[in-house]
Amino acid sequence: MAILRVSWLSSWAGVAAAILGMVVTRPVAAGLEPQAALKASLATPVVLAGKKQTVYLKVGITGFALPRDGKRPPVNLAIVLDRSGSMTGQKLEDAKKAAIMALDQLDSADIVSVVTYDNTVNVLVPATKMTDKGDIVAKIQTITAGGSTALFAGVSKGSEEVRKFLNKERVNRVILLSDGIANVGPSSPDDLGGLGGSLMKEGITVSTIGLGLDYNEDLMTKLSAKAGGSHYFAETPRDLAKTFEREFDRSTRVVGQEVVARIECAPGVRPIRVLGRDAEITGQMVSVPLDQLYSESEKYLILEIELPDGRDTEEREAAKVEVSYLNMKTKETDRVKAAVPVRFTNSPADVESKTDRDAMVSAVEQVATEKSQTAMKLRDQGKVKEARELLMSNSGYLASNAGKYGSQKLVEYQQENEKNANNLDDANWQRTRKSQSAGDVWRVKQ
Amino acid sequence: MKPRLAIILALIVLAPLALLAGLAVRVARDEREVVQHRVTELITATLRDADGALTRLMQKRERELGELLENADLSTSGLRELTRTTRGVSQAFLLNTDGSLAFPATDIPLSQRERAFLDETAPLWQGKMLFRQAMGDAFSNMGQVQTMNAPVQTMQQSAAPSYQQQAIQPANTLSNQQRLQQVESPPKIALKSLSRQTEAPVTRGGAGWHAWNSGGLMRMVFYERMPDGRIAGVELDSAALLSEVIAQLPATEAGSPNPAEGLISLVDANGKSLYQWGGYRPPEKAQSRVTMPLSPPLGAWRLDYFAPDSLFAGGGQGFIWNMALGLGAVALALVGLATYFYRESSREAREAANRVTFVNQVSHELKTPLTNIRMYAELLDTQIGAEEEKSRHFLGVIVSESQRLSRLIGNILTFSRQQRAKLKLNLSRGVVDETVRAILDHFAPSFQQCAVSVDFRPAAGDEVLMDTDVVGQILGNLLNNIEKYAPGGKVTLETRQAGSRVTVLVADSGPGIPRNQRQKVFEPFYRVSNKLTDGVTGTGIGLAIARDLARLHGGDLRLIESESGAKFELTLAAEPSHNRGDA
Repeated sequence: MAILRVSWLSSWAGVAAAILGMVVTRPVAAGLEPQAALKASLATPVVLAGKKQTVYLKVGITGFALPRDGKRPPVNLAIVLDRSGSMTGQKLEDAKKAAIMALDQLDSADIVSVVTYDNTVNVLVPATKMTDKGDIVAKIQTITAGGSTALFAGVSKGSEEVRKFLNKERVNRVILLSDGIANVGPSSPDDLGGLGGSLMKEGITVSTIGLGLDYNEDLMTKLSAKAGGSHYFAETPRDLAKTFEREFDRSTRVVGQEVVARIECAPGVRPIRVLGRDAEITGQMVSVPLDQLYSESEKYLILEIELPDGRDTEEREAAKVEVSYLNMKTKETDRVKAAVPVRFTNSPADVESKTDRDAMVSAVEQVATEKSQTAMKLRDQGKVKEARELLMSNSGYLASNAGKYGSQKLVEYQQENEKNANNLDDANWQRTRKSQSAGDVWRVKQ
Repeated sequence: MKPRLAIILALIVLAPLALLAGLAVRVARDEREVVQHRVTELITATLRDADGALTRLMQKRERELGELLENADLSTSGLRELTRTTRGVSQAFLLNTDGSLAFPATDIPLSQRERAFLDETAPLWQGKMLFRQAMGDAFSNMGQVQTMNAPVQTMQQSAAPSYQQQAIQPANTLSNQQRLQQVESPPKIALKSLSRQTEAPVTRGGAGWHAWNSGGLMRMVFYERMPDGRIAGVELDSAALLSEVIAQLPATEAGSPNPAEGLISLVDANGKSLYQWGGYRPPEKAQSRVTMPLSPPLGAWRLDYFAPDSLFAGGGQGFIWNMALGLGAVALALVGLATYFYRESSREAREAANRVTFVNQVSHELKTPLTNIRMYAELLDTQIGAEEEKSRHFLGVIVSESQRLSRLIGNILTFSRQQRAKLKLNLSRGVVDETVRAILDHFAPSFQQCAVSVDFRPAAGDEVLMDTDVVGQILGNLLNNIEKYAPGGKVTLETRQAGSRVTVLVADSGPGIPRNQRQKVFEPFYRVSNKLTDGVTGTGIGLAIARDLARLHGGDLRLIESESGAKFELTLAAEPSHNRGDA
């Protein structure tokens, strides 16, 4: 439970990638070098004629499979460990063990550093090639706990270590483990989000692992979301080993970096908003950073747009989509493009039958996530009843769409929603909130 | 005797201790001052290093941003691209030559971020403050600009005069070198109360920084005037700036915390700690030891140094402890020594007392048989026929030797009584001349033997109250010496009487006593050492006892000048006996 489902992601993304043949623009220098697959389409490619309406545009990009020979882009990781007083005992021991175990996934081409923090920051292992693992392990073993939580400083020093070997051809990442609330230096979610955003700009991603029930999930999710990393909720120290393994595994499966989607809406088409993600909308142009692309996983965004009215059978282009990313295999920036067509019809049945199930499921997922976050805010204000009602109605929305589009993913989400709705009482709220935050970030950021 | 010994011993212990303690305190105080000074210097240097690192960082950023802006495409899309791709920059902006905003401006579609930027930085554009600052005339208005929102460069107000002086120079006439000097001149350190003089803002030919405080974070813009008169600038990402600053500052050494490292805290304008390093964990509300504001443009921030008291105490407590330990050791040694002396001396005193007691008892034991021997020998002398010349001679020897022995024992007993302060006079009527004559009679046989002739001139025939035994003992001791040391000569005795004062002069024709030893001969157990005395037995207490007895008798015994030999003058206080006159 504590580790959020990553499994459905890859399996489902693989299937999705397989289905989407037609709109995918294949590379110019066809074929030999692997490239990400782009799919851009409206959830409802056929819409009713004669009225303005808002529709969802999905842009999905799927990372190519890494070759089987195991050759992968090298990583440049900084492990930033909270060693404040609250980590004393089993938590710290398990965290050390988990970090040491995770190091096994790295090889001599990788770079690793270990930074610990309490009131102040220790650069325990300055950035170094993974050649002398024994030495690194020995140093990790010496970590003891005590003091406050200078989280901002810890991440700053960790990213400084990453910066020493900052290179676009590596996966540059800070992995932060904390079980508490930052209390030395900047400590609001916005402050840490700002730090995450600026690191992302430099090409450093930050993943966060929240341990136990006392950490500030808003801060941790915001930091990782703005820094293009993942967030994990590890309820008990026992979950740490798995969590670290997941995150290291994910770090070693990056196939594209600096992924940015640019959508130019056709004249008359008005971009409204991007669900969940930060986006820059200026006029007809929408620019959305998608951070990193993982092997055989899809990243997508849902853009809400307003279509002008059209005549029956009229076909036109709603938008042009271009996704650029640094291909970690070829070390070159790839640009994949697609056009998004829309057709107008007078037949509701036609609209229904032509609905793009995959895009629609994604849109439903994002809409439901927004509602779920609203419910969380209500619960934060102490409005337990309203929050439960909202989650239950969200559950109903998910259930009907799951049935309509035959989506197992939505069924799972619906079940989770229902479970959360029933765990809003004080005894379970901290757990529910953390698990839900982590789940929401996953859904939004994938 | 004992209290005096105790005082001496206490002095032996306390005097050096007090001296040492005084020295130690002085050394400790000096050491403390030296250490404090050294530590403060060290801390100052450390803080200055940190400040220097940050100054270099800001210079680097200034250069980078300057080049970036000079080479930037200043179109809307160019500035957006710059904002999107430049590390640490949250928003680029452009001012027209008249100071109005060219970008981001509300006449084009703006992203949410750009609109937020305009809202948050509105005070910068109102009244074209930044523009005026950039155009060079802003120096006169600097105070206003700096106090926009919450003032960050708070120190500037207190240092206004010097600021004005600096301000007269237009920014764009400052040469590169001048600018560097301004930046690199080491910030003056203030121990707490002193505040630093403010330097002019870092400028670069119409370029500069502007900082203000917003929502707890310091916000900064960098601007530069383009050749065409427009002003391009960027706002730094607050979080990124702080993160960069933190990256430039040292980390804490790994391992267990070492309080001696102190703790340095980077503190913002609101007094909130942004970053800390060092192994010391100060208690809550601890006062910083040294405070140093950072150099511009980060002047809103300061560095606070915290350290445990022990760091300033100079070798600190350790040093004082060592001192105390050393003193303690010395005190112990001295006390030990004193105790040893005290015990030694009291043991000796005890032993001496024991010896005196022993001698006293033995003497008593000897006295009784000796008296018997003398009595029977004298008895025998009266009964022996005149014809038995030889036997009479032998008897004479026995008598005189036993008399000698009696005197010796008498001396010993007197001495031991004196030691126990038990000497008392036993006054009775008597005539001094008779006593002298009796003594001379006693000595007659032995004087005859060693060919000493006696010349007695009596002139003290009145009866007085005196202790005959004591007088006899004194004279005996004197004559005994003559017998021993001046044989074959002549002894002259002279008595005088004047009121209650009786004087007896005893002079011999022996070798006399060297001048330098005249006082010492009266000390107990002292014996003049020369060829005369060597080989002659003696106890060395005779003269001492004789003088003590004379003093006991209200007089004295002195060695007085004489042409040859030794001459003693014995004076006695002897009240004339009226009984006799009455009778």
